[in-house]
Amino acid sequence: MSTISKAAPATAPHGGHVADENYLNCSRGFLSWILTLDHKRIGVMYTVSVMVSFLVGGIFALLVRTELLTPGPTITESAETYNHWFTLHGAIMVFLVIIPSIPAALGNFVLPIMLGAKDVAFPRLNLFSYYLWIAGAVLAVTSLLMGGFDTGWTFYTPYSTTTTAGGVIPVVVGVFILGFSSIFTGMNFLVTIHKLRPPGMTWFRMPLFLWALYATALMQVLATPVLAITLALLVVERTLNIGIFNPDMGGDPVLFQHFFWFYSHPAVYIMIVPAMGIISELIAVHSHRHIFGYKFIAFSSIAIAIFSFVVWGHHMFLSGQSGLMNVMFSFISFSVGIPSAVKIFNWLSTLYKGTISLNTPMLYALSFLFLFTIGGLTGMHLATLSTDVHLHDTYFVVAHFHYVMMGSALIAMIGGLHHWWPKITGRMYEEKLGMIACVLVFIGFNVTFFTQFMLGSQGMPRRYYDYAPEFQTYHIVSTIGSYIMAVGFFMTAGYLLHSLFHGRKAPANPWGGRSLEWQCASPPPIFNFDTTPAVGDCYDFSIVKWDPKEQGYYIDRSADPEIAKAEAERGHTHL
Amino acid sequence: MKHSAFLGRLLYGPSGDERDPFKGERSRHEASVLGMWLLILTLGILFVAAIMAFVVVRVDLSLRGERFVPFGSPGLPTMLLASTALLIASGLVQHRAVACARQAGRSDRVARYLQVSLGLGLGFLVTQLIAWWQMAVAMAPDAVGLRMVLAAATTNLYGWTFFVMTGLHAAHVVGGLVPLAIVTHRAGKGWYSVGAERGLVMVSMYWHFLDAAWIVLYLTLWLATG
Repeated sequence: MSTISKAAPATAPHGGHVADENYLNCSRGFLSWILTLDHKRIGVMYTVSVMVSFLVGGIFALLVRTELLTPGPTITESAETYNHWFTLHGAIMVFLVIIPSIPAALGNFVLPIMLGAKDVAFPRLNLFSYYLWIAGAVLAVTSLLMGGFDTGWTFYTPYSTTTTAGGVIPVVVGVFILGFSSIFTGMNFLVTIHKLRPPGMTWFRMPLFLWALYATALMQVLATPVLAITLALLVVERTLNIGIFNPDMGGDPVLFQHFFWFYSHPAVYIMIVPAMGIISELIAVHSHRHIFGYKFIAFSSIAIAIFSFVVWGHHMFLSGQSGLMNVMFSFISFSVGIPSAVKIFNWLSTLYKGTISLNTPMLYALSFLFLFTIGGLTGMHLATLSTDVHLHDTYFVVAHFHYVMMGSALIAMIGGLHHWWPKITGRMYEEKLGMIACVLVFIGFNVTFFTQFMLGSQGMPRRYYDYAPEFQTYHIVSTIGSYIMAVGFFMTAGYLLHSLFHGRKAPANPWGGRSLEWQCASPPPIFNFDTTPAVGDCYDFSIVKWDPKEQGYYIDRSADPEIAKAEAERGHTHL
Repeated sequence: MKHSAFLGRLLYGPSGDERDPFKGERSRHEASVLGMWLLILTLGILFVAAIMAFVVVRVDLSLRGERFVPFGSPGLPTMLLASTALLIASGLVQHRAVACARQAGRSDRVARYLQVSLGLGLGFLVTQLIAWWQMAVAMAPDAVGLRMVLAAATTNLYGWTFFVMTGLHAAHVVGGLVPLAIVTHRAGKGWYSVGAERGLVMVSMYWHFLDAAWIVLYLTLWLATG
């Protein structure tokens, strides 16, 4: 197939490849995966790795929640063991799951195809990023075998520099390496978006997921080196006792917090911004309506990226910072909510009068809207100095960040996984099971974490193994919620894995999307496109039509004057 | 695919074949330059963050009325001036090498210049080690061998600043010598000429970054020790 003709192509229905050869079956064997340079295979490997880590981190979460069923010992006699569990839950989820999940797993697969390129700019660097992730994960496991660590995922000094726990250095080195995995992925995406856009794909023709990945990549490249130096100083302090965080030697333990949060605040936006990019895609496609306020959403991603660097102090309101710093950070933290709110209103406007398909990806998108609103608004409680004084280090904070990290970022990731599942695997999952599992996760999530807002505002501190008896009812409710969520997630894993073997073969465009990834076969051929289709407005769904024979959509290219003109000008389109 | 084909692609990249996302050497070159600028930006922030950590602690000390360099401590070793000269010379020679590669008919000189640059870079590391030794002997005369260095680094914040900062930079020089050696070897085989100088330009950009980082670091140390 060398050209895309204006009418339905002669060789294959609606842009697909005739032959069954695709990126999954074009070569076989372990080495063909582990040494692959294909961004799609790398994305798949990341997805599997991230999901396995999610399982491990989730098991630690269930251990934590089960322990909290009763005050005092429940399933472990040792408070220290409990500390290890919540530390591992946090460290695994933050560094091995949420940060890489959307950019490295879904982004790697989708970005080049959505852009219209054959691969990312630096395919070998991409594979190297994956190897770095594996190295980081191996070191994290090694740290468990060397005595573990119970510092909390934040590794605050002076405890982290003085504790005898043997796992601190391996895990900190592991996180250091994971940071470089993140940086190289960011570099790759930035150069890909700048340099590999095909003719016609201008900046404002790019789907919003790409804008989000671009903003994320900016943050990854600029913020992560600060984490690297923080962890390097921590290791040097621990091994050589140089004194940078030791007041006796002229150092300052709060300096660690400043350095740590200078990265870790942008890090949470690295988690949420790509998730918001996914939501833009899900809402537009599944309500078959042009996204409202494209430029506002695009620029708000960039605004969030810039603002994210100047709010880190809101994690440290009680650390002894000056009143002036507190006020400044509080004020800027209020402002950083504005671009996020802009997105929410634009998404709601997109849904309004849309033809909404209430399928699994849309359910996840709707869940996101609800959960992110709660998460974002409760961030305002924490940004307000007079309330944060009481809420800091309570379950209120725990609930807030689970609403944004899990209820929003992770939910968007899973929604995106369902949305692109047919493209990645060539199979359709069982829609009814998808909807049931989504509802279970949604209900379980709210039962778990809404309760924790109440716990926190009534004074229950976070990271506590023991607690006053008046909190027990709340804890029991929260734990039951976590079990409901677990059922939902296991169900999701079940039907997704089942679909790999028994799912209906997916058409090229099952949902009626218009961006470029829906204009190649499901699964895509190894080089994505023989020739990149000309792009028009990727949110104009008026020319997307249903083909009952294929049980999927197709794009009626002849109906779009812009595309027709572009193709006439280019003649034979070339990649 | 045969295993050797996999390894070949890993070592030499997908250049030119049907898998190559780029349309030609020129576009690939531009993209690589952008990528290297991003790497320099990222590593630059790494160094800036390290300097910030030091500056914060240093200013704190001053505000408390304490001395950063305790009485009786040695000043910065003068060997560092030699380090500076060697590193800058190394960068200038590399600049020459890139200029030769870009001129038709001069690609045979590239390898020679790169060999000189490699030697000067190694010389930089040698002078760094000597400077370390001098500082360690002066700051912790009672300890022996490597432990002397460790002891010197941990006596006070002045010690820490000197060893950790120069160590951070030296680590990046060591890391940079590997690609420089590879590029030097390839230059000997005639890889670099007009229109085909990408690998060389990449190493050269990184090397100039190391130069700039060293100058900033040295100035910081010099100003701080007053």
